[in-house]
Amino acid sequence: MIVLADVAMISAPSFRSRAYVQRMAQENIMPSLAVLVPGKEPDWKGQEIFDLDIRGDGNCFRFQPSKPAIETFQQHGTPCLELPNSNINDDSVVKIISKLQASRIIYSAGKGGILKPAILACNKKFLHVHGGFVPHYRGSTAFYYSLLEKGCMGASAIWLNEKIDQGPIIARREYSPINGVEIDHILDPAVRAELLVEVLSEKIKTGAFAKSFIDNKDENTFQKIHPVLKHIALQKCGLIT
Amino acid sequence: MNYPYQGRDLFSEPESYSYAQCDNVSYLENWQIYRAETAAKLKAQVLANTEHQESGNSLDVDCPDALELAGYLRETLDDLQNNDISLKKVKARLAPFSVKYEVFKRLHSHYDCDFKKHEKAELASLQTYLLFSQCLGLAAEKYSVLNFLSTHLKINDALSSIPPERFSPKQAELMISIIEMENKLIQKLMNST
Repeated sequence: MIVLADVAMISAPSFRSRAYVQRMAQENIMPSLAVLVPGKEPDWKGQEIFDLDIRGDGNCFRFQPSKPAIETFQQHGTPCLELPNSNINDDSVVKIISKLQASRIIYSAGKGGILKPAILACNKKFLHVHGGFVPHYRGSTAFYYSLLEKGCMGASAIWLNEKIDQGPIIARREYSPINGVEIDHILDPAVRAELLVEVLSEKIKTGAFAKSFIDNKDENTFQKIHPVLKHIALQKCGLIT
Repeated sequence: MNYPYQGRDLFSEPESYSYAQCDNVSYLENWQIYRAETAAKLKAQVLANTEHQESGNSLDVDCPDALELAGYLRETLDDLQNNDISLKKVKARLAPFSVKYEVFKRLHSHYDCDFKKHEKAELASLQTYLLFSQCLGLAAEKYSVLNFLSTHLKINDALSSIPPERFSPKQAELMISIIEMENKLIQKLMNST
């Protein structure tokens, strides 16, 4: 197991955090610290295990969506630290984050997690994987729009800044959807986890994160998709029951 | 099973559409039935031809710098109908209000020149929402902008959720044509995907 000494992970109780840590564990990579956001773990009552060939190269990510991230962290001996509250911009949280040894933080802090100036000024860089190919697919549920327009799902690894999905880009990819696999809780987190692991593997290989860049050409920011459009996207992915 | 966004006034109880469950095979059909029923009720309103005071919005005091949203949308609609506007310009004109509606779930009658709500503004009138939906639908049709189509659908959910008696016969006629346009846009999208 490779422990990334200068990397911590902020982990909210979510399917995304579960996918991130399980995919990292599968690749034998772990952050040096898990910073846990308090909250209720979401329930999963569907299929127990998904073998997901995200890149279409025969290598599958075995995702167990019902398994809380903390269990995977503990299983691999990753130290865990629980935050006093779930507001990432709260003064007490900012104080804790600023004192962390790690300078790079994988960010999976849940909904509404726009970082305010105080936390952005605490000398850390926050690595976020957005569910859309930026700058063309910024904003909420962007992957549903790209499924409708291009038949694919995007993901972009970015360093967070004060603007939504506009931080410097580390890597971005497009993936074909896997027919019949639920999107909101399975495929979207898994696609993001895939890109996260690619970025971390590159860092291990070269000793540094890939050089980031800014691209604002042909930018589009999307709003939460209407369910009728989502239904058509789901139909396209063989998900209408 | 009904369309999930019917049966309550979505202007007073706004909908967030988060993690919408829409994977049921009859989802689209339920939506179509609901819209067809709405159009039928509005048709009755047109035929009844009742006396109706069409409400608009005007500021009590003279504010020459304020942007009146209905007038602004009427101009945009004219430009769209006359093919006199580029995609870039349509986005610049409609996106600020589309984002406002998505975030705050409502619009106002007047805005400052930097698109902030005017201090004396009232909530937007029914006529303003109809105009906005018409603009978004036309822009979606002309330029295939899915973001506009999505907001168009949400505004139509809200407009369909209010009692038909609140529409004047003219407004009811306009809403029927908006529902027809919306249906064509969805059919077109289904045929293209």
